[in-house]
Amino acid sequence: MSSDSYTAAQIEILAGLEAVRRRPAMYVGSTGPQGLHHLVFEVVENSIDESLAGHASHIHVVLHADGGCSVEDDGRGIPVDPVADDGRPACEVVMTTLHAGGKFRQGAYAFSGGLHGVGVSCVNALSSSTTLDIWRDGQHHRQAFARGSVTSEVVVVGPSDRTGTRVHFVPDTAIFGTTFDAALLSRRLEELAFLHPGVSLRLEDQRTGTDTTWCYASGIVGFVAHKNAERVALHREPIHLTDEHEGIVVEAALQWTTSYNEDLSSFVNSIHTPQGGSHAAGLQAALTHVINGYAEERRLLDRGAGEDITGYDIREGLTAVLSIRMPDPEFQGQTKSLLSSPEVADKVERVIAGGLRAFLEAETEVALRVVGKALEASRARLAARRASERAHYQVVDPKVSEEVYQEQFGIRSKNWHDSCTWLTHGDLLDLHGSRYDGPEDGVLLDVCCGSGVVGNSFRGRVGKIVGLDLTPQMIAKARTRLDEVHQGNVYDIPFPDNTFDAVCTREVLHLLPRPERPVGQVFRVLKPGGQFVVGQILPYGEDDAAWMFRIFKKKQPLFFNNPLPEDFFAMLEGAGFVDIQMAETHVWESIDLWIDTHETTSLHRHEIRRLYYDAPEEVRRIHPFEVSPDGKIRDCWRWCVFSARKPQ
Amino acid sequence: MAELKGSQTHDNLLGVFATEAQAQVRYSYFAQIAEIEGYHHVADTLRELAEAETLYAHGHLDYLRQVADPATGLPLGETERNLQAALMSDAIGQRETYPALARTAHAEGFPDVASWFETLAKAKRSHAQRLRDALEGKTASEAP
Repeated sequence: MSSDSYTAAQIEILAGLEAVRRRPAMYVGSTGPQGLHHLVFEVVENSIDESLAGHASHIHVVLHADGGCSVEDDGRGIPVDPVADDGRPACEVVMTTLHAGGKFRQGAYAFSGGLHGVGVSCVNALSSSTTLDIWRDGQHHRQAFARGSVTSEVVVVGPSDRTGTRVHFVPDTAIFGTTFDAALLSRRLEELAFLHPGVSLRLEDQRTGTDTTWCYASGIVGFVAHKNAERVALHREPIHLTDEHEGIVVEAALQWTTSYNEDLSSFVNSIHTPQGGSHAAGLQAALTHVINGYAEERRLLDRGAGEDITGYDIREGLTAVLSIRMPDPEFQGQTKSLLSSPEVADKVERVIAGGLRAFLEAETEVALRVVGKALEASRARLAARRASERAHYQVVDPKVSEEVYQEQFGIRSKNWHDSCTWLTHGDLLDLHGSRYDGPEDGVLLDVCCGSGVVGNSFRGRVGKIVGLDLTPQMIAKARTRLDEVHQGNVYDIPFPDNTFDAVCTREVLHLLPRPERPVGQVFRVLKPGGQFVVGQILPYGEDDAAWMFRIFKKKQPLFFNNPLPEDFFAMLEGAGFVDIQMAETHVWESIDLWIDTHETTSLHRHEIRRLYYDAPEEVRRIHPFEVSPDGKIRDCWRWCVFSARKPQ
Repeated sequence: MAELKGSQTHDNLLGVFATEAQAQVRYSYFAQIAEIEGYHHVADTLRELAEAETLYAHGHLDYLRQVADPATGLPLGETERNLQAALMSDAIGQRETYPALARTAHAEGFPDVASWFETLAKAKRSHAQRLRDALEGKTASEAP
């Protein structure tokens, strides 16, 4: 296609712009970070359209010191010739008219991203100033706008032998209260670089002086390998499936890892659909049918023992990128978070199922590993349910479910310190150790010591540190830190009365039914005047406690108690402790690591995310957490560290 | 017209009010699972049904409020009365219902369910306080 065929005649005018400024959220999703970054993506996606049409290969995004952003490409340049109907230049129409854009007419673009052409005019409407530079037909043209209105006609700046477009916009601070987040933009630009092999995307942050360029030849296969760089893959090469079915081009790359999280990114015409939709549903259906069929045919399932492989089991540990190209996709919502075109699911399923079936037939070794992983997930799902059921009997006889705890924490011991950042958080550990005010040659017991990091935080403050744990794997870890470690049950601590100068434990009591019993045991083994230092994540108040209960119970089937500080005080007083004090600190943590363990089932991981996304207002008022525009969640744990004393 | 209070029809309305209110919650819960499983159209259907169930439950309440609040038996009507009924039900939940349920759960060996009930007793305490504030604020400053 020559640049001549993309001319003003192809631009159609559908509507005006005032509505955008009146209701920005309707067009860009929100006036928060999501909406602000959407402005950049919108302009970038127009440049991507130029690259899809074969005309642009370099896209350069600059975050300017004045809070503005510019996006420049080396495409054909937006046409500047007059539009037939009213004689205004085409570029002005594109910048000031909702639903104007080359993509609205068949012919200019086969597949297009942008927001159905509302895009760049929305950006213009929501910017206090916009400068448009166009290099085309041997000349450099420029036009300026403010809040969607023209402030200068198109002028020729001078001759030029290049082509391209640059949109420089300063988001209106009367509408957006936040500033650009370079890390977030980087993630999206890198994603686009994978989706468009050969296109070079550059982000220059003039506010900090950083400058990064992404350009990949490897496509979505490379994207999956990149996502899995920190994970252990079950098979060396990602599985690459690609085909076309009735006008829809489907491409997918799949690689299973030893992780528990599923990481599925789906795209339609390179637009990220964070909530998936019909194309993702098609992929999931294909995976479920093909893997189950394979396991069934080879009699790998023990149906008699209640084994079945669900979609969740198959997706556990799966990293996948699905990219489809189709004409006229239908999305739910203007920000395109979800593809709703219903006919897509079947077509995607057909392409993926066909390709995957052929792959598994050809690669038996990979196939058996993938099916084995799904079976393991299905067995773990059953085991998690049983663990929760069996642990109920602990009340009757504490000995019964030792094995439940040994199993749970034995498996998790493998990646214990990687399973959440708070485990080794220095300030938090120090908050435990620094509470100690007993004798320098005192003996400390760390109960349910895990890897021993908490006991070790008392190092230098006490004379000797003893550990106690139930799980052999944890005991082995603790022996590298503590002076001696014993195996035993906290309901029946294997030491005589009045043995220790201090006892510590952290994030344990919520896992124990009837926690007053182990607390009573701690009281018993402390010397008179001895100190108990106990750390626990607690709700911020009455209004987030039920919400936290649901999150914690879904994360950990052995979750049994959800006390507020007042309950904690009451429990310690009930055991006979005096001089009870509480210190607290707040630790921010991404929940990704925290829920990536065998004890959290796939459905529960999804439900936990929904609980954050849909948290009631009364929770948000008191419990800080963050959901970034790409759906990642960080929670701010309220860490309470109690100190209590056994009376003299 | 017959008297609704004390009639079989009033009992029936109480029954189906509970059923439809439950349906609303059940369907929106099912919708979320459908969405996680990738069945967005099923999720949409379930959400639409849940919306309709709310309409039906409210329709039952249109009749029930002529007699009394289905949860507390207190008279309903304008906001002040409604707040009093809401306050009463949350206060009962906080002081009686949930603590009693927690005791039973402990006795039967369900410590996690007991903790869940105890957590809700506290949530109800907070709600009751908010309702009390709303009631006071209303009578103090917002008289029509």
